[in-house]
Amino acid sequence: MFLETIASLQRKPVTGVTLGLFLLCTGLMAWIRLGILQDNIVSIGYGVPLLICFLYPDRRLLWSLMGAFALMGTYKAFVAPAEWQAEQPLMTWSMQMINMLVIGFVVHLVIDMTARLRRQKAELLRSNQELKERDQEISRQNEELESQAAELAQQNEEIQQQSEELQAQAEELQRANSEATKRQDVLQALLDSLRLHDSRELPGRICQLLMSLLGRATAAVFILEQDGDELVVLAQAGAFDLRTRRWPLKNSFASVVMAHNRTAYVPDLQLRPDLVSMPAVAGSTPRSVLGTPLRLAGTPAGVVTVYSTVKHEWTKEQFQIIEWVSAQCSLLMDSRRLQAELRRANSDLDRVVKERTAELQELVNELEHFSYTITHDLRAPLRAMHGFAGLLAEECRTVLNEESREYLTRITTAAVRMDRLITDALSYSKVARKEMPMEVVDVAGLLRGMVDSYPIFQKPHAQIEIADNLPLVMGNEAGLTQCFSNLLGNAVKFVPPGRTPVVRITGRREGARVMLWCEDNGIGIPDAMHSRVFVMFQRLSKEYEGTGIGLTLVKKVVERMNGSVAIEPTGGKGCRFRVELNAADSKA
Amino acid sequence: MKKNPCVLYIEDEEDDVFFMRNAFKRLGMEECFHMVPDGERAIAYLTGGDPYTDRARFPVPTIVLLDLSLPVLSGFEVLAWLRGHPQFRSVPVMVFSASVRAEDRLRAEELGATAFLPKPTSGGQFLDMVRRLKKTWLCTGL
Repeated sequence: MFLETIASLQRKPVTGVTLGLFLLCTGLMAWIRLGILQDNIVSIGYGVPLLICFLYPDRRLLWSLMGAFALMGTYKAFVAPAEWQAEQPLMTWSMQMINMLVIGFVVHLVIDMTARLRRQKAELLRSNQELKERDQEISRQNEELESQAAELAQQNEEIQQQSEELQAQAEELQRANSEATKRQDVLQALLDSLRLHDSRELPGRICQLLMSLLGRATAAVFILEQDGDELVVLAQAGAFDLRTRRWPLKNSFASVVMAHNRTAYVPDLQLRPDLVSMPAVAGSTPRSVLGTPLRLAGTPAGVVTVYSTVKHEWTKEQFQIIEWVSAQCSLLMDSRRLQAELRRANSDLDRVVKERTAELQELVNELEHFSYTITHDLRAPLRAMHGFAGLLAEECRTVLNEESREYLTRITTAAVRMDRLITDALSYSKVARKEMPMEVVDVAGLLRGMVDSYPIFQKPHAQIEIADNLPLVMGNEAGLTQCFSNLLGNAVKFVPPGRTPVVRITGRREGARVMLWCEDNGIGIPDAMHSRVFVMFQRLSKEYEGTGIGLTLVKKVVERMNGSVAIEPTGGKGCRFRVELNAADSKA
Repeated sequence: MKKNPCVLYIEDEEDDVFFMRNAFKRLGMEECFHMVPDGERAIAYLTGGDPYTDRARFPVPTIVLLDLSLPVLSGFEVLAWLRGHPQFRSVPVMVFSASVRAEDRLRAEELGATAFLPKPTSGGQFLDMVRRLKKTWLCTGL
């Protein structure tokens, strides 16, 4: 503790200690020089206390001590009483001062060097410390690196492991892939077989396919079909020869498979004497068998069997293959069967359609001929009746009484009416059957043409007003002529006696349709009768001539032009018909 | 040499023949009215074959009235025959039919019919028609 304090003081002087040492040394020297040795001259005496500065290296103490000693020396040499003074005071004082200065200077140098040394040592210590720290840092970093390396090694190991796993998966995948390829080949072969022209080749192909899929253990493949109590070979592949292609089903392996409706096998047939074996010729005795039901439309109708000439434990994979092939085979045979049925049904249908079309055509021709017969042959006697009644009325006018003449008139009227009925019915059937090509029609122009050609539509018989702005329509000109000649004809016909018919035709466009109205001032039709005006042979007034076909024909012809016709209520004042047609620029 | 006008009516319908003959009678032209009931006999008449060899009784017609629906040879066939024969190529042929079929009319016109007349429905109309015929085609010599 004490030593440490000393060392600390030596490194860094403290002012208090310096002052204390100064006072102590000065006091001691003053006591020795001025008290004890007043008249003695000690030449070297002043330099000794300065040596304390070796122990306490403070240059302030050194120089202040030297100053104090110089004053003391000067005092003793020149100021003190004479008895104290030496014979040559100046000489003595100079010696003392030089002595003191030399020692002081040396001490000063030593202190200075010691301080420098100490500084260098501290410097060294510090850099040493720094180096140590660096060293520690580096070793820490080293440790870290080491731990990282260990981690890396671990990761590396993991990766190695994963890579091995991946490798295993890849192998698995490859195996699955090759399996899939094999299956695809099978499927392709089966699909190709669909394109066979002769469906009887199909089972044989499937047998060969199965042979190649099942590998070396397989000696023969059979597709057997149940036929009553017997099994029949539908197809076979492999080296087995049979004595017969048909043998009893009872107690056979096939019957077991079919009864359980699932895949089964016998590893060694010699251990199953209860099963009746197939009638194979010597040299090709089956020893082991694998079989699966062949289902047609869902129920077992036969079996697919695979034989080996040696004992054989059939593998799961072989199970899968035979089941899969059997399923495909069932599907294909089903589809072939359905296809054949469909083809048959189709050809039947074709034939029926052709027959019916021919029948229909014949019927149409007959109808055509029939209508011609009606026009020509039916109307001939009618004309004769009419003609003879006329002749009778004319030539025997004088011998006939009033009543007989009335009868003749009635005969004539009936004949005319009959003739018109026939003509109207014919034109109706023509409208219903005739081709009606659509074209753009200017209804206003068509109506004006009609008015110009028929005097009954002209003044003074009638007044027909046609609006200027009638839109163009999509229709058939002949059909529209028929339509409006009937409507206008009715309008000018059904008027009370003495009234001039006035007919107004107006129209406007509504979306893709054109509405045309035909309004008259005639006797009108009661609202209650509106539903019946378009019914054939429906006459609403017996007082006016007509066949009851005109409006039916109008409806038919307008409908043939993709339009519609309706009668609108007018409250009993004349008639208003509305004809709706497609506009000229609409698509229809 | 100018011949007397002569009308040949080819018609199987007896009533129509009656009315036509009556109409000619009414107009005092009965002697120039001749008729045959079918196509075959029409050709026989025109060519002067049996039993129409006597040209005094069965003169060559100056005009032919032709019904379309005839037994054996149809009116169209007779028309075609007429138009194919050098002697009768220019004889006026009035097709006279009850048919309302536009295609019949068209076909008759294509085959060279001079006119297409619808059959009248009364005696009076027959008379009017024959009157028009007389005015148009038979004025020579009457």
